[in-house]
Amino acid sequence: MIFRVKRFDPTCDRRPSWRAYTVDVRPKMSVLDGLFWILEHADSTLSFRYSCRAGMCGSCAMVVNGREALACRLRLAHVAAPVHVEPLRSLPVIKDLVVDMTPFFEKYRAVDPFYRAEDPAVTGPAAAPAVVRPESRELVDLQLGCISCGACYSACPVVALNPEFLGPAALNRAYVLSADEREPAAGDRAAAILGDGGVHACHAVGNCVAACPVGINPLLSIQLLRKGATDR
Amino acid sequence: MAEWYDAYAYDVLVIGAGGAGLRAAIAARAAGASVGLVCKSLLGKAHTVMAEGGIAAALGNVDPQDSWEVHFADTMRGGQGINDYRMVEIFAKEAPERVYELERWGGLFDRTPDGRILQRPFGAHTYRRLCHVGDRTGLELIRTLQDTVVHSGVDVHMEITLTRLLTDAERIAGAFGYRREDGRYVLFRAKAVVLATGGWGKVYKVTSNSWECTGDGCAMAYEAGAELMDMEMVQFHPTGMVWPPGVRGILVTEAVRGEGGILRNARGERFMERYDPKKMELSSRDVVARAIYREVQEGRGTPHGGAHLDISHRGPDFIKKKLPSMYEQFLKLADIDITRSPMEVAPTVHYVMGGVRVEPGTGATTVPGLYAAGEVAAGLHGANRLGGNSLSDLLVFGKRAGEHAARYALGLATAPRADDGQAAEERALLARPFERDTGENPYQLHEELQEVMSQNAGIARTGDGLAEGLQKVLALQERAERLRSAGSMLYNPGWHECRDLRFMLTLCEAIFRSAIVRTESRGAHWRLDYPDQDPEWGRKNVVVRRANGEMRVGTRPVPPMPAELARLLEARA
Repeated sequence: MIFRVKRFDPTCDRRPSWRAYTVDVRPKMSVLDGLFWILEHADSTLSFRYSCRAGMCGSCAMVVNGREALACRLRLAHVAAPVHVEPLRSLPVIKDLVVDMTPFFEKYRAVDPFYRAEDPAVTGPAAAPAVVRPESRELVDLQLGCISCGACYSACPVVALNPEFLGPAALNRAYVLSADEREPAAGDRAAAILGDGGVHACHAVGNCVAACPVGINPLLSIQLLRKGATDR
Repeated sequence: MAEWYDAYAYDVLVIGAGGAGLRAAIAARAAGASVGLVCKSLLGKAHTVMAEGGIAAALGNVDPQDSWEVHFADTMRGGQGINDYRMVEIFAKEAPERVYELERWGGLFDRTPDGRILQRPFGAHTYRRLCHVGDRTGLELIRTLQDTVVHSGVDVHMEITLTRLLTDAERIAGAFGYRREDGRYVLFRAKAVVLATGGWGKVYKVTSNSWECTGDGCAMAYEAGAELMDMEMVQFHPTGMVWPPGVRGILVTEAVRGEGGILRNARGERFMERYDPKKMELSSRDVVARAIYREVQEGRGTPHGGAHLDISHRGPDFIKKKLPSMYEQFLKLADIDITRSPMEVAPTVHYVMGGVRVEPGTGATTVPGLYAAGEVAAGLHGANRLGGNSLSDLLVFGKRAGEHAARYALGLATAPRADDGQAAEERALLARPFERDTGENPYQLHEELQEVMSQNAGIARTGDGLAEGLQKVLALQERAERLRSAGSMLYNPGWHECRDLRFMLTLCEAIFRSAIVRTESRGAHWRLDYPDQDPEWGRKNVVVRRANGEMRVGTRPVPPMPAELARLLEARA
């Protein structure tokens, strides 16, 4: 099977270029397996991130045939040949398929993801463990489990046009915290959520929903944050 | 003159950003130390995120009879008596508070109907004891700790591989390595270092471990003069995926059995009836792994050489709620709907019980200023770790190591200082793969090493096989002197692999040398030529240390338990 991989080495290339590899395909191989094959048999300098191989860590998000995917979870049987593999969008490329995730992490931090209900400096005897009824968690539970892979950020057309926009992952985190019944104050979070880069910048395109490899619906979180802001 | 490396200075340097490293960094910072945290991946990708089943802590929420005493006894029995009882006691007593603390930092575990933390059953735990977040407990744990770390003013340095600990005479003085992104060298001066670098499952071919688990921390500690212990104890988790080939070894959480999963062989027999009729599928990992191995060896294995694990009788709603990741994993990777069909599973290398020998309460190694916590440290789990005990290990001993490292660092009268020669020497070693036009391919060598480990230090071992394996590892070490890398230092995985491989070869030598010495079967160490436990060996830990450039193997007495703790084991036997 032909793999076309977008390669870029800033020390010697002026712009990225596609390079083709003929990968020896075995049964049920994933896109990540294909990249390993290239690394081990064709070119040991191909750069890409990976870690767990099981869709748990979110290291190997990339764009495959124009769509964001975790390379370890996407099987070759489900993609059309030739397979085009390129780095995530809206993030600077360090080399080949490796992008600089700094903007993504900085925006995550901008929503002040720190939980404030209890001061961690207090390490004395435990406060009474929280009583949280399972039924109050049903929606929040669906929006937990973000693996910070950056797929939604890459897929979002608003992120591409508006560098201020915090993006789906960060705002989803903000929603999960604001919806936690134990968390008293929004703190600095409200300013970020409602500011220029916050929920009102979203155009509700919904690419983030399709891109999320773990089934989170960031658009819903953004809409709920908006509704909460209106209600208040 | 511009330095040829980037330099940073901290009171405490924490290496590794999994559960133990994050918890240590929080503790060291809270104790007033300046803290740098270094990780090989991006933050949040550490192997801890793969922990699925839960955290073992005797909260007694579901089974009020549970207590630290029972957790203590279960853990000692699971470790077959060669654990350090002092670590186990601290662990069983402090685990509940570490769990509650996580919730105060924003984590939230699954609930009982009346709103308290829910606990699930797990292998060889007497009571329902595992606090969990569905089957992605590690992910929630990491996220909670990570947000706390960032907020508490710890400096995080991502995608840096540290390859050498620096010393000032005997004392630790920092660490040296390179940025994965561009190969630039980095030097951290530190008064104390906490190793939280995890295990080395990547020395085996079939493993649940992620790419990071190459044992850098343990090998660096050894090279710095620290003593290693129980290196022969490598845990095979009974249930890894076997098909398709690209995902062979990936973990199938024990929570599947905890929630009622049943193991059957190719003939449809529930074979655990023959190996442990009392605990059945929830026997300890060493027992279940050997049972599956035997079924396959004796011709009753499934088409791809494993056993069937079936949870479909619990129904789709239950499975999707309690085991969402497993449901997704099999659907996406193997085209199998586990709400309808059984999974095919076989043992996979999962965890190393051995590692750096530490002082029980502090995590101090035998090198002054060097601390270790989590999987890289030895002593808590003995010959076999119980499921769910790893996450509580990370929290309990991560905190302690961070606190004691801070106390040590802040109490030093003079800051240690490493001479530049150590860093220069390490740079020369790191740069060597670029200096030759022909040489060994690191991937090829790694594959050969994995083959040797699987063949000669696998689930079933013999003296002859171990001796042969050791010779093969020594031969690979020679070849590793001639490793070659193409390309530049810019995010070059082939080059990174060269140094990782040297670490792995050192640890594999330790595994073989230790396994040869222990002439009995105990826990994860199963010798076909010595199939029984030997009470003499039940009183000894195997230790490894470097002396005059050579690996020396010896033994240390297992610390004897005081009578009141020993009684806890008898009471529940």
